[in-house]
Amino acid sequence: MNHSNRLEELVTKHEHTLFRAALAILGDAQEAEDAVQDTFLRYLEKRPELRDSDHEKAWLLKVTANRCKSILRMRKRHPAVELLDVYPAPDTDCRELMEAILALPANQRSAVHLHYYEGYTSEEIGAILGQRPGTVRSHLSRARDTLRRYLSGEEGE
Amino acid sequence: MKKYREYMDNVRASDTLHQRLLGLETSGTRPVTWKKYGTMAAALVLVVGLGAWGLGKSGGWDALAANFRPAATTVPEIADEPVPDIALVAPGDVTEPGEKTIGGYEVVSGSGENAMVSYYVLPYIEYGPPSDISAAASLVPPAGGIREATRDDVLALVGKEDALTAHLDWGGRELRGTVGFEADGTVWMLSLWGEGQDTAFSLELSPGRLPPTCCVVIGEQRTITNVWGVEVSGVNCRGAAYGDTERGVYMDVCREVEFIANGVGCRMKAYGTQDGAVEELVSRFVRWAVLEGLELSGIGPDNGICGYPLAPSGETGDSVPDMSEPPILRVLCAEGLVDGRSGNYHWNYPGEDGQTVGAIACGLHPLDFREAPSLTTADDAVTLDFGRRPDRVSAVCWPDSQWGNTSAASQAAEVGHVMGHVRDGYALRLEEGGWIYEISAEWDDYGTASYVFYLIKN
Repeated sequence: MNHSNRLEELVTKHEHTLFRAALAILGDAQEAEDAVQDTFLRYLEKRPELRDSDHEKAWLLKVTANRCKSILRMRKRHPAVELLDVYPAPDTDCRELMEAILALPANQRSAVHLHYYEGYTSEEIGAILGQRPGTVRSHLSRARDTLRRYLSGEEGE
Repeated sequence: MKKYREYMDNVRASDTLHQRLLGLETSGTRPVTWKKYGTMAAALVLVVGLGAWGLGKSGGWDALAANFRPAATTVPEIADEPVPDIALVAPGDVTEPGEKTIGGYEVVSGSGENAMVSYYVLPYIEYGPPSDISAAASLVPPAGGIREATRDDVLALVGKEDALTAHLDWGGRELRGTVGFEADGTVWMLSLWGEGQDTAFSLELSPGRLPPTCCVVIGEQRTITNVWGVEVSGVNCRGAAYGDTERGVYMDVCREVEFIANGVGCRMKAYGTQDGAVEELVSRFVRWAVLEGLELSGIGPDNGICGYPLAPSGETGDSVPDMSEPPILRVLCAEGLVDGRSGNYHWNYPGEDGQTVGAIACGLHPLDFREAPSLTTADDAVTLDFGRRPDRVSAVCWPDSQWGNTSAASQAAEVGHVMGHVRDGYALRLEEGGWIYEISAEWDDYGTASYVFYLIKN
């Protein structure tokens, strides 16, 4: 497979995953697109040897998370656009939940998305975000405390 | 989290993004990002060019500071330049697997087709929960000397100019500082203070060991983070606010780190109003100290200055006190401050007609002065701020068990010169318990004055 086909395969397979993760961390669609674009640029620059699909997804998520952190550091010059204005929630409950999640600190939002949406364990999230598993569990625990009202109503779902 | 999953399932990368991504390899460009950071870099250069370096009103710093501004500020015309090829985007530091960062920053060098963007990661430092920490006061060794820090000192420390502007984020700050020397002329401690619009920092550096600061800590919780092989001790300093609300520079977020890297002991305390900005300022310094290194050996005492005990007398603060009578002495510690007027002085000052006017006042004996200003603190030392620095300061003290016993013998109290950002430059070391202190100050041009305080260290 040549490089162009390889890039196309990667983009097609992971663009939505990366965009969602970036959006979850940044809460801003334009910035999330920038982060995803930078991620694939970094891929082209590095062309890392990735063992399998899981490895490539984790590598790309790690780079995306790092790019998001950089964007967050510079955000004072680039105020975020409200995510829910771009992607409206289907109902009031969902909107309230999303507002609560978006109000979490970025570390907690990252952990919540990777755990509850992508299904990663705290060890895997730690590897992606460059954090100790215990730190990830702490972020998740604090996020759960904040979101308890929503989570308690959904247990077992 | 079912609703969250449902919401996210409906979020998809747009077709526009898809096409941009597929076009990356053929175009090899990053137009949006480059323009954005290029503009920021241009703004940074402009800010640096406009940045003022003030290190006090004496010591030739202003002249040096003028030279310190970049000779030419080259702002690339982004809109008219070809977008740089991705192959020219050089990586900076590489994040190792599992290494935790707080993101990073990009530095643009060159312009046009030769433009390079380097990315540098910033280390994450654990600060732990908010912790009480006192103000610090460092005393110069008796045999040593002290002088104001200069532009050359700072450049010798960090190695190159772009370290200040592009890497450390010190470019737009007003910097001032002092450097103390051992009797043999080697640096004992370099102390810098940098004040910017949103953040400020104090920095103390000593060769081979942590800066010797008499720092009292109550309930301190230090957390160790391994940063590229160096153990960095961090504290989330509760209550160590910088500035005052009157000046509009009050900053209530504070982080402190201590570490030894490449043979230099470092203690940095950064202040701001936002956690992220303060921690980034610290991480930038830690990154530079650990990866690039700091150099104290290039800082010399200057001929004839070493061994001279104090910097010249003169105005060192923001305002010049009225010297027609002894200035008010302000005693500061972590818990607050208290002002005291001299009740016992021998004073001369120039009158309106140019003639010297003399005044003598005799106050109560300190042990009879039960209304003396008092302060309770946990600090080892308090700062003495006279407004205008005396040429000599000494102090004696009595235990508070001797109130009223004016025949009781006093004992000497230790007064030292303070390194660092305090305006006035003296500190009084406190004894345990309650003591009455009499502080005597002497100005060569005006005379002598003594002040009495009741200070309790618990």
